[in-house]
Amino acid sequence: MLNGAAPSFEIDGGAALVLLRALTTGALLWVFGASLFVWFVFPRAFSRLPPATAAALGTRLSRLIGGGLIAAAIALTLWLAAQTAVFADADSVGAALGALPKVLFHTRFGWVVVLQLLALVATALFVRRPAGAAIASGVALALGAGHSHALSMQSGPSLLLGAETVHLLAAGAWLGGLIPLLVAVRMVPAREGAMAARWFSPIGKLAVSAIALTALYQGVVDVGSVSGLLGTAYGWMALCKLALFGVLFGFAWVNRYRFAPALLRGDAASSKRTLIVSIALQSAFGALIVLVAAFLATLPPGMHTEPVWPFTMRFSLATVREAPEFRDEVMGAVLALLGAIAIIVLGQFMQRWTRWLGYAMAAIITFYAIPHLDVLLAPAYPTSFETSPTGFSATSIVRGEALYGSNCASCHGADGRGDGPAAPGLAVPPADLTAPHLWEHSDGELAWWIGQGMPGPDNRPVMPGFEGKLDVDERWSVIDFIRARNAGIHFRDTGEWPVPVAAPGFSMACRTGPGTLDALRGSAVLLLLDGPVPSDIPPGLRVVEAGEAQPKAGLCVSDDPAVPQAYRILAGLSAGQNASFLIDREGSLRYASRAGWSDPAALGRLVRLLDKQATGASAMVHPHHHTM
Amino acid sequence: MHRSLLTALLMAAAVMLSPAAASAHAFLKSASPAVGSTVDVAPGTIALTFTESLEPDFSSIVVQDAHAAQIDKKDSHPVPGDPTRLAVSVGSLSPGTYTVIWHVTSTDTHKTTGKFSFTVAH
Repeated sequence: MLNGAAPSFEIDGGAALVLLRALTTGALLWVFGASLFVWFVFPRAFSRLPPATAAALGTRLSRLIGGGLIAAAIALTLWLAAQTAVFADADSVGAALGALPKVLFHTRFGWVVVLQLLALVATALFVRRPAGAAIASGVALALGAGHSHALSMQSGPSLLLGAETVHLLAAGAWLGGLIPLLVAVRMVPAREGAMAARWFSPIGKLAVSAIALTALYQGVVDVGSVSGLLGTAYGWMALCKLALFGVLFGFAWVNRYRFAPALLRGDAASSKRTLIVSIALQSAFGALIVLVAAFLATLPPGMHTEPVWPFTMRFSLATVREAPEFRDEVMGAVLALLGAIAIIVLGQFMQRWTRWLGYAMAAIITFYAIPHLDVLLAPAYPTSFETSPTGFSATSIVRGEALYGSNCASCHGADGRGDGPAAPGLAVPPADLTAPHLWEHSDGELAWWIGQGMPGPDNRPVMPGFEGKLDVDERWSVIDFIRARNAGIHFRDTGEWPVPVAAPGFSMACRTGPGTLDALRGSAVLLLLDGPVPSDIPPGLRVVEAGEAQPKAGLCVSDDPAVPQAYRILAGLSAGQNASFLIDREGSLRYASRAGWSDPAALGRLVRLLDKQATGASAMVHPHHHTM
Repeated sequence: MHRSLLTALLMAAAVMLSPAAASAHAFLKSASPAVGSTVDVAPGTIALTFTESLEPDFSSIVVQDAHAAQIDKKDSHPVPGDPTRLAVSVGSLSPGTYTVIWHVTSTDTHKTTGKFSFTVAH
């Protein structure tokens, strides 16, 4: 099931930065949680405490906050120093010191650190006013969101930044309150200890809900996909954090509903010991989760690293799509599973023996239904979810064409139909690369086969791997060409592209300076391989002329020879044939016409149609427009 | 049975998670001239757009010719109005292949590096 591949856990800046980030965050959580405890729990739980004990506890908690403040200030300063050295690539203390003013006053990291230090000073000034201290330390902690990914993605307030702030404050209220709770339970009589746990409970419940909700949102945004979760270091650490959160939640549950109530009954001394040990263990797990969080904040999110798929299988609808007879089988199995769930839910309202009978039935249904879902699995490889770095550029397609000719055509044939000169001698015929089935495979899967070879039914290789012959960029280019040619042949035969096809990217020259096709996203684009430029250009349409070097007013040009060559492949044209292409706002090819659109009214109608019809659904909406 | 269990888990995961856009280290998003492209008109400026905002004081672009000699004007600068863009000026480029190497620090303190090449045709 597992293929043995694992993602890389390499981090920039090294372990010291992770540790200092964790120490800083931990100390800030501590100060805020303790201040909140003194402000909210203390007056409610300990109102009937003997004055001497109350005073002693108050002093202990003040010292706890003071210690946390000093720890936070030291950790923050050390982190600033270490980060400065990394920023400036400093190899000596002198070089790092020289870069310090620049970091402090010219980087966002520096500004946030300065503000956090100021908030810590404010906390120290408020140390005798619990509300003030809690608010000031909350500000110091919340500012930590400024160190997160959220603010770099989108300057200014964003939902992600809000989620990060709430997440930090909630973690502080919960984890930071554990040590004061521990100290209080140890110092006060059993009854007051139980009261403290009871009054800490609303903070805990609110915090746990907030942490779970914000983590879910951040997880979905930062991890990005199933492959990001299962195939990247970021995803693995996020799962690790989730597991630790589960452990913490379990501790909180037993503390609140088992160990704390036990203080009021029977053997108070042993109940107290149990509760203290449990809170201490919970705090240790809390520290571990802060360390994992710091590591997570240092790793590039799953969204932006190439996932290494760890399983030999992946979810796929290809079989069901291509063989309708499997559709009923899968639907039947899914309905049976829904039935099993319904039985379990209904069981909750039944008597015990009926309920267990229901569970048994549900288990039997599940056991027999699940194997029918096997058709939803397809073989997968470590690179299955890797994405191509080429951006499907015109250059890459053209380069791929040359590489295909010298490496692949002998077996797969010049057109890719699997009928090359060497094909008849092969036991297993080469794949027909013009079949629509090509689109059921990801770029990453094609890359695996081209690199590592293709195993046959008896596991003997039927296609050699090209890893030693083509470098990784060349292999991606071959894939771009295979896809472009597949789409082009389909278009030539049917007037439609088999799937929404991206318009190959290229550089261009405009009156305003150099540009790229990518930069024109947001407007519809008319690409002319060979004039004529329409006399009347509809509003919102950008026009790009290939084969020209000098930009004209309102017109971008490109004389990169790869542009006509790549677009000809995508329209199934031979060398020398020309066409005009309409590209929609999202960068998908939508229409191609060899005659072009000379009637401005017709062109205007098409452009309005592009704007109205969302891309993605179909590459071609009105095939009769193609006058190929 | 293991296979079946995995199906169930994968399906659950697929339902729970949907793709969304995010980033956290500054990765190259687009470049002008485009990565790997051939241009006819030699550019006066190389401009790179990243996936997140940069610390310009700790970010730079180096442009090298085919002999690995630095030919940019060492004036890496942010593009006004867009904190995710960084540009560097170059003199008039003669035909040939050039390598663009970038070392950037994103505002969330992470450093990334990378390179690509483009060709000036004639």
